[in-house]
Amino acid sequence: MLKKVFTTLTVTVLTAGVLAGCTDNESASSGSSSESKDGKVTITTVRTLKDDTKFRDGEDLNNNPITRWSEKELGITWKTLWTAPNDEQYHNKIRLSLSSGQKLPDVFKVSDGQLISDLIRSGKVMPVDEAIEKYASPRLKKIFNQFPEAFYPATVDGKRYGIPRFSGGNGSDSLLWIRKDWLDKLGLQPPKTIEDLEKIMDAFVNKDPDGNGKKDTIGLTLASKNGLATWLADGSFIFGAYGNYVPGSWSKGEDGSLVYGSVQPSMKKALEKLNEWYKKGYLDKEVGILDEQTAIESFVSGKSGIISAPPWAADWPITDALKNNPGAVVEPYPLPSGPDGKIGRRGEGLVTGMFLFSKDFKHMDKFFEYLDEAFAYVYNDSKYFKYGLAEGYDYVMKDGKPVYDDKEIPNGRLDPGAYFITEAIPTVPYMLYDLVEELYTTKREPKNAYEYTRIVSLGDSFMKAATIVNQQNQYRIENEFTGPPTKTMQKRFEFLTKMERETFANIIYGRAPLSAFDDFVKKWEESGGKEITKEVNEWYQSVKGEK
Amino acid sequence: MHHHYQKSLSYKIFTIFNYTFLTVAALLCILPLIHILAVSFSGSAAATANLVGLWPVDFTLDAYEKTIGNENFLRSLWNSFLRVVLGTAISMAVMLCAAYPLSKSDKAFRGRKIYMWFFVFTMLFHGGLVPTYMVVTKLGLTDTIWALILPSAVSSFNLILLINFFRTSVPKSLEEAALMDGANHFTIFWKIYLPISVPAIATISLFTMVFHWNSWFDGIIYMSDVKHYPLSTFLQTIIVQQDFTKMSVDAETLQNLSERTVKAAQIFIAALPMLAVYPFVQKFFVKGIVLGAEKE
Amino acid sequence: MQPTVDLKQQTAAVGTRKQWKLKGTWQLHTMLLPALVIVFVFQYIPMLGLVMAFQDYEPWLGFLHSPWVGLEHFKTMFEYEDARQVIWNTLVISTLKIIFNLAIPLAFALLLNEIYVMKFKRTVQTIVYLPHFLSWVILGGILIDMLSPEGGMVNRVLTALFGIEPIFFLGDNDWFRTVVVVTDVWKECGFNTIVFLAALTSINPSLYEAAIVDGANRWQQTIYITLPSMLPIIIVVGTLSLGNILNAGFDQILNLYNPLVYKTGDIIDTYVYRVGLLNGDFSYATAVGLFKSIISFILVVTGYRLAYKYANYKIF
Repeated sequence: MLKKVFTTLTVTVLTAGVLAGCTDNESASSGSSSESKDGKVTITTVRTLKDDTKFRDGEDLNNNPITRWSEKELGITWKTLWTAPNDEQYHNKIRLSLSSGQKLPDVFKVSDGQLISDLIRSGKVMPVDEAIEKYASPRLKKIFNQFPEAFYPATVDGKRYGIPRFSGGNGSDSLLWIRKDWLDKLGLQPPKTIEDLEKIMDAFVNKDPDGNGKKDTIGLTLASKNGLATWLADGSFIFGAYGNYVPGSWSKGEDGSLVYGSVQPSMKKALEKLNEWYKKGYLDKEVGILDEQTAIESFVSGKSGIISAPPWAADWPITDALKNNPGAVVEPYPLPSGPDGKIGRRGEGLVTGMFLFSKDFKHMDKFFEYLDEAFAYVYNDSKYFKYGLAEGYDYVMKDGKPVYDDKEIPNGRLDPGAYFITEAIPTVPYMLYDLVEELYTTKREPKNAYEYTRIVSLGDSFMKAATIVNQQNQYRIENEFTGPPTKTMQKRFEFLTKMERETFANIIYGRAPLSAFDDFVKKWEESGGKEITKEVNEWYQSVKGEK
Repeated sequence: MHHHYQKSLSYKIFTIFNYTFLTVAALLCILPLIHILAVSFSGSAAATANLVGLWPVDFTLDAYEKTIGNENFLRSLWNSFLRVVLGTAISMAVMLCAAYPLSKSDKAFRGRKIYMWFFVFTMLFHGGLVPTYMVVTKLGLTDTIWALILPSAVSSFNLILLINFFRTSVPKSLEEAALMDGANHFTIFWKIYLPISVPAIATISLFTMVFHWNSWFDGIIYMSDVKHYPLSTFLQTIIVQQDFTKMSVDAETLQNLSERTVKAAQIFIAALPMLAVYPFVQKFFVKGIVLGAEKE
Repeated sequence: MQPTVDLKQQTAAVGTRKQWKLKGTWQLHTMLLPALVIVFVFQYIPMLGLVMAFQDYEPWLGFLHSPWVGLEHFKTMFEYEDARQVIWNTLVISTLKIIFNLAIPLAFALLLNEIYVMKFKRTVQTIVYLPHFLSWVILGGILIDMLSPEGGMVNRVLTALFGIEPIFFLGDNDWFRTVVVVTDVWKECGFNTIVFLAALTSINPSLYEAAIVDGANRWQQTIYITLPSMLPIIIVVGTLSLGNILNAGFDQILNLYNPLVYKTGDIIDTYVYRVGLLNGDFSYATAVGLFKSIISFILVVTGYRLAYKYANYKIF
C-alpha cells in the first residue's frame, strides 16, 4: 500500500513538473533562424492558410514561386512551421504554444489585441524601433511615417513592437447598390438624401417593383445580428447621416478625445428612423436575427431593392442577384445625406494584424528587404516582378506580350500573392482604390497582373463603385481604439455590448420605447462605460505620445 | 404475434394514427438531409439567394466536381478513414479489456468501486484545453495520429454500456463452468465474453466511429498542416462563418463564401459513410445498448 | 451450490476458488491497466490545470508562476449583472430538455413497439436517428429558414392548418425556449428511443400473457405493465442526464440566438464564450467550467445514491 502511495506521489510530482517546467525550458522543437556562410538565412514563420489558397501540383507553402524567388534573389529560405485555417484557430494555437513554453517562430502575424499585448508582456518578442531606423528602406519608412496610427496596436510604453500588415484602408467601406431597373420602372431618381431614400423604399415596398402582383418586396437589406455597422449589408450610413458616430466604434468626439459611438445622442435619431422603417415594412421582418451572410438573401433573391455594401460586392453577391433575376440592373450610388447634409460610414481599420518578431530573431534586415520587394511590385517598381509575380501563375507571355486572361493560362490563373508572408500582395491604405479611380477615369490599360487581377478583371461596376467610395473618403468614421481590451473592458464590456445589442434591437422592433436608449446610455455609463472611456483615452494618449 | 386486442376497433384506429404519426415524424427527420442534397445539386446563385427547398434549382454537378477535384478534401477523407479505423480499434480493445474486470461483482474484484468512480469522475471533470494540450505536446504526439486517438480512447459512458452488457448478457453458468475447468480470466474473456458480445461491440464501435468521424477541434489544435487534417476539421474550416470585421476582405476571399453548393456537397459526402454503415449496425442497437444493470 | 454436494467436494471447490482469486485479481488488474494509464495521463494530469481557476493565468508564466487570486473568478461570475438571468435560462432550458428528452423518446418507443411491420419499424428507427449526425452549424441554418415568419415551412403549415398569423419563432421571447427544446429533442431523440426500445424488448412476455388472460386491453397493459417495468431505465437515463443540468446546449444556442431573445435564450456557456472572445482569458472560463462540474457531480452522486436507496438500483 505504501509503495502504491509513493508511486502515485512520484508520478504526480513528475507530471506537475512537466506542466510547470514549460515556463523555463524552451523546447527546441521549432527551428530557429540561422545563417549559413554565404549570407543565406532561414526564417521560420507560422500563418493562416485559407482553404481557397490554391497551389500548382506538388507545391506548398515552403515550395512555390515566391519562396523560390526569395531564396534565389534575396537568400531567404522561409520555413512555415504550421498553419491554421482561420484567425480564431490561428490565435488559439499561438496562445497554446505560448502557454506550453514552445519557442516562438521568427516572424508571425497577430491580429488579436489581447494576444499582441500578452506576447509583448511575455518579453518573448522584441521592439522594432531600432530595426526600422537601421534597415527599413526609404520606401517603407515613407509608408510607416504616413500611417503612424497603424503601429498603435503593438505600441507599449512608447516602444513599437510590430510592423503593421496594412488593410486596403477603405477596401470594405460601403456605398449603396440599388436596383436600377426598379428605379426606372417606377420613374424614380437615385437618392441624394435620406428623404429621397425613404421615398424610394416606400415605392419599392408598395408599388410592386417586381411586377408579380404581390406585396412581397422590401426596401433595404440590413444585417444586424452582429451590430448594425458591419462589412456587408451595412447600416452605418443611417447613423452617419445623423451624426459623426457609428455604433461600436471609438471615434474622436468634439473635444478630440475618443468616445464610444453607440452611446452618442445622435444614435437616437437613427434608431427612431430604423423603427419607423421597420414598421412600414422597408426592412426585412427578420432583420434582428440576420447576420451578414443570411441578410443578403433578400437582395440576391430579388426581394429587396437596396443594399449597402463595399465595391467588391459587384462580384459577389451582386452577380448572383443578376443571375437569379433576369433583367435586373444593379448600380452603385454614393451614400445619401441626412437632414443637416451629414454623411458618414463605417471606415475599415488601417491594419489587419501586426507582424511580431521573436526576441532571438537576428535578421530584421532580411525581413525588411523582403517586405520592400513585395511593396515594389505594388508600386510597379520591381526589378523582379515586371508583368506579374510568376509566369504561368498570374500571367503568360504570348508573342512577347503579357496575357492575364484566366483562359489563356494553362490550368487557370493562380494568385502567388497569397504565398507572401503577408498572405496577399501587400497594400498600403487607400492605394488600391486610388489606383482604381485612376484606371477608371483614364481608361488606361493595366500595366501588370496586379492591376489586371485586382482591378480591371473585376469589371466596370466594381471600378465605378470603388471610385465612388474613394470620393467619399472624407466621411469615414474609423474605430480608433486598436489596443488590447482595457482592464474594465475585460470585466464589463461583454455586458455593455449585450445591453447595447438588446436595446437597439428592441427599439427597432418597437418592443421598447425610444426612451429606452436614454436608460441604456445612463446604465452604460454607470456599469463601467465611464471608466472604460477613461482607460481608452489613457491608452490613446500613451500611444500618441511618442514620436 | 397476433393478439385478440389487435382486432378491436379502437386499436385499429390507433394503428392508423400510429403509422401516420411515425411517417410524419420520420419525414421531419429526413428533411434537412434532403435539403442539403438539393442544395448540393443546385446552381450557386439560387443557393446564395436561398431559393432551394427540397428539389434542386438549376440542376448541376458542379459542386461535386469541385469537391472531388479538391485534393485537400480527398486527403482529409483518407486521414479520417485512418483515424476512424485505428481509433475505433484501439478504443474498443482498451475499453473491452477494462469492462471485463469492472463487470465483476464488488466481492469478486475488490476495488472495483474505486476504479468505477475513477472513470465516472472524468465524465464530469475536465482539465480543459491548455493542460491537455501541454500533455499531448510533451509526449511528442503533435502531428501524429496518436494525438487524435489516445486522449479520447476511453469514453466513460461507452465503458458503462459495455460493463452493463457484460453483466446482463453473459450467462453466469457458462463462466462458472469455465472456472471449474481451470480457465483463467484471459481465456474466459476471450472465449466466452467476446463471442457473446457482438451486439455491444458493434454498437459501441459505431458510437466510437461517429465520434472520431465528427471530432474536429483536436485536428486544428494538434495538426500543424492542413494536409494532416481529418475531414471534419477540414469541413469546419469552410463551413463556419468567419468574422470579417477584423479581416481584410476582397472579392477573391468572398467568391469562396458564395459556394454554398460546394459546402452542401461536402457535408453530404462527409455524412455518407456514416449513413451507409449505420443501417447495418442498427439491428444490433436494441441488444447492444444496455443502460442500467440488474437490480442487486 | 447444490445442497446435495458432499462436504469433501465443497471444501475442495472453496479451496481452488481462493487460490484462483489471488491469481485472478492480478489478471483483472492487468486488464484494467491500459485504460487506467490512458485516463490518468490524458484526463487526470490535465486536471491539475484546474488550478488556473484560482489564478490570473498568464500563458507565459505557466501554472506555477501565475499570480493567485483565490475565489476572485467565482465572485466575478456571480457579480455579473445578468448572472441570475443567465443561470435561470440555463436551468429552465436544460430542465425542459431533460424532461422532454425522456418523455418523447419513451412515447416514441412505445409507439414503435406497436408496429409489427418490421421493415417500417426499422426504417423509422433509422431515420429518426439521422439528425444526430448533423452538426448545429448546419442545422442552425436550415432551422432559421424553416422557422422564418416570411415563407418558412413551419409557418406556412401553421397558417394553412389553423389560419394563424406567422410566428417569429427565433425572435420572440415567448417562443425561443420552446424552439430550442423542440429542436433539441428532434435532433437527439433517436438515441434514447433505442435505449427504451431495448428495455421494452426485455420485459418478460409472460406478464402480458397473464394480463391478456385477465382481459386487459393494450392501453391497460401499457399503464400497468409496460410503464412500471420501464421505471428503472427511466431513472437511470434521468440520473445520467442530471450531469447536464448546467449544459443547456452551447452549439445549438450559439447558432440560433440573437439580441432579440437574449432575455430568454442567453445561457452560461454563450456568456462565457462572449467573454472569452473579448479577452481570451483561460482562467475565467476554467472557473466557470469547474463550477459547472461541481454542481453536476453533486447532482449525479445524489441521483446515484437515491436510485440505489429507493429503487435498489445500480447504474454502474
